[in-house]
Amino acid sequence: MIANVRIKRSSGFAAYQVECDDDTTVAMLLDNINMNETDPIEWECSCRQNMCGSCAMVINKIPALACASFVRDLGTDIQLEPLSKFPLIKDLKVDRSSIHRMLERLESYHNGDGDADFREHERQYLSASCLMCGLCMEVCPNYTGKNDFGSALAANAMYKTVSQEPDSGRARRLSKTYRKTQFSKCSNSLSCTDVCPLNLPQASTISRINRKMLKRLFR
Amino acid sequence: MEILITGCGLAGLSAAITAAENGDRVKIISPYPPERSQSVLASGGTNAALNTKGEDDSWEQHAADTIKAGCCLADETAVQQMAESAPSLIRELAGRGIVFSRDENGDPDLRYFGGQKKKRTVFSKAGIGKQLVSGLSSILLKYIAEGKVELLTNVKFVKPILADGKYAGIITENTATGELQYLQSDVLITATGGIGGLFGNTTGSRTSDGAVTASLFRAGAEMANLEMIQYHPTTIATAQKRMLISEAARGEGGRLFTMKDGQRWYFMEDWYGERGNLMPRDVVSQCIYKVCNDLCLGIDGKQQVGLDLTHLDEYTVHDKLKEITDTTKLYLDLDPLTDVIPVYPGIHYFMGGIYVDRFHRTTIPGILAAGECACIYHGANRLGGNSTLGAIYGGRIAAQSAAEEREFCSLNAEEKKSAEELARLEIGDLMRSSEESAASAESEPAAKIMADIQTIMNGSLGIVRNGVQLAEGLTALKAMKSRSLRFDRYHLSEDSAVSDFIELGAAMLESAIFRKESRGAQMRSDYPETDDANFRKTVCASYKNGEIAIRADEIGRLLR
Repeated sequence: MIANVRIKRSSGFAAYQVECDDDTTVAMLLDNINMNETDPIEWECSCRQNMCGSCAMVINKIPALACASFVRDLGTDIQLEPLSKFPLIKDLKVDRSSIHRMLERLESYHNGDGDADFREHERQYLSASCLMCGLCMEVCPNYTGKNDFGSALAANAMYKTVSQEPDSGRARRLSKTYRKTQFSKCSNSLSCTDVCPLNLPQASTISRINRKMLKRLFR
Repeated sequence: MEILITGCGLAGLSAAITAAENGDRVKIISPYPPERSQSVLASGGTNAALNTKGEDDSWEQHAADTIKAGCCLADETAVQQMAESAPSLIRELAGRGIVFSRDENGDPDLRYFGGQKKKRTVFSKAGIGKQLVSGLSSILLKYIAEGKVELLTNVKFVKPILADGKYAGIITENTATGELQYLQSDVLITATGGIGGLFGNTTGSRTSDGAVTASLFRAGAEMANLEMIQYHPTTIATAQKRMLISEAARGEGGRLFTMKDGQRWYFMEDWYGERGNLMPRDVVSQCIYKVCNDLCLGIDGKQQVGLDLTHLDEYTVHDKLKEITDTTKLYLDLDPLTDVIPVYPGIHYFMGGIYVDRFHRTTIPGILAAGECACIYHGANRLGGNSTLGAIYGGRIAAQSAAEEREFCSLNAEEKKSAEELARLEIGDLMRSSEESAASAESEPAAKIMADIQTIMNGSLGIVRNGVQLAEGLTALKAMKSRSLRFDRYHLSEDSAVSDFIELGAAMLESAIFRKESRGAQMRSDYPETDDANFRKTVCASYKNGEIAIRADEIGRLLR
């Protein structure tokens, strides 16, 4: 069958017709188009198996990874747009380096030299699995990029940092930062859980970090 | 001193952290941040003889297993040092926030892996790479915040600049703006992964293409054992790419079989006994090849055998092997708890690459290399669990070698000036090539030419090779030089890499032709025996004045 692919390029929308079947992914469609395109479509691609978060884009109005979006679910009319909440580089490629800079400002990095907290092990594993693709930021009604509220991505990262921090002074300081920048800004729409490519339990991580951080504040 | 690192997978991260802790100024360049690197795909685990299972394990046994699986081609001293460091390295990482799966005593848990009789592989379910990258990135971010490290994403390595044969900086391309720039540092550490770009459909990431290796080869860096390409025994064919099914599946009890006379035949157990499924990867891949090709016993007449996990319990399959289940469910609509996984070998790892010695020095003074791009620990066949170890340990050693390395590449004022002039000319040449080729009508995009190169390489360097096929491949590859490439102003690095890839591919084929024996991953149907007298050597490829030369070198030679 033929997919009708409409792509929002830097130069405006462009339409392509591409041979496909049910198992064809959006990543494969883009490869196909680029093989014959004199002006190749710019997009990020690395692992092609839902494990690196490179190919995040907006597919039929929903933020998703191109390598894990199939024609069988999308139908043959497919519209691709770049993520809207990050600066556009070209076509479908955006600059997500703001994610690292935000985590740096939030001091969400490993500082201590103690063993990880055991009871939190399973959740730490999941939070370290985060692809940092930015889909949760794209869909979040509260993420604007204008302040340090970082949607589920930031909550995930800060949860891991605080739960692994042996220095209670630093943990308390981070908890305050969390309360100021994240907790008070999340309106619990939980749209982040719907788009996460790994189905990470964002809602329960957010409630876990809320409980943990608030407890710390009063300790 | 100032260290420039290209690549931010495990080896690059490890080198950067070590260098920052040594007090060096570090600049990392990469088109992408660490979470996009191929390292995140590493699945099964990391080897370290922790000896916590009462099996009387030791680092000496780890080293011996590594050398044996590598068919005696790896530098023994380097391997011993790595194996000896592994237990303390793992304990250090566990204390710095990396989430390993733990046993009932709270120690990092260990699982069985191929080619090793003891439980020696530390793991994080089936997602070791992601956990390691995530943890090391988190440590690195602290040094970035403290101003010790600068991470420049959207910046790509194009080519090195040499002065009198010594490292004098690199030309980079900004992948957002297309801007070309000359960057200098005291030394360069390259940590840019394997050479997947020559083959295309590997288990790896597209960004891990080997363009930096190809560029360094053209510039004069020698290559070692390029013919040693690991086919991982268990990969799945999906519409998108071949994907890895980790050796952990067999480490946890998975069994390989095919159908014979209407019954299941567990060929690995039949040929090698109870632990046959966990033979080293080269052996398992060659057995599957034999079953499907020589015996024509592939399941349903196809190039595939079965990997059976259905007898394992749900916790093992869905939790300990979580990432395997995630992959097969998404891409094959198959749950390994109830269905057999159809598998066949696929290209997974490059044991060969940039020739380095045990200090991770390349043949170009001032340039060090670590991780999969470097050839050092794995000989003719890599043990599962040694890639992540080799990357983290190797990155560390490279960073530690940097101070001494600086002495080998110090430039006088005149050399500095000529390097700057050379860089300016090179940038001008690159810009001009894009303008000239835009005018030509028959020119083709790089992606198209690379696809044809990949077809040739895959056809010539299969699990089993022979001299005739290799020579034909070489002729076909050389003919690619006449193709007219269309330079694109915003992809100059990719475009200029095409001609480098052709030379590196040719060197790979010539290395396979030169090694007239079968050893590890090099299986020659025309030379089925191992020939220690002539080939228990490093096969070394060099490039000079447009000519490739191949020679045999003593194993473990120091390069300075």
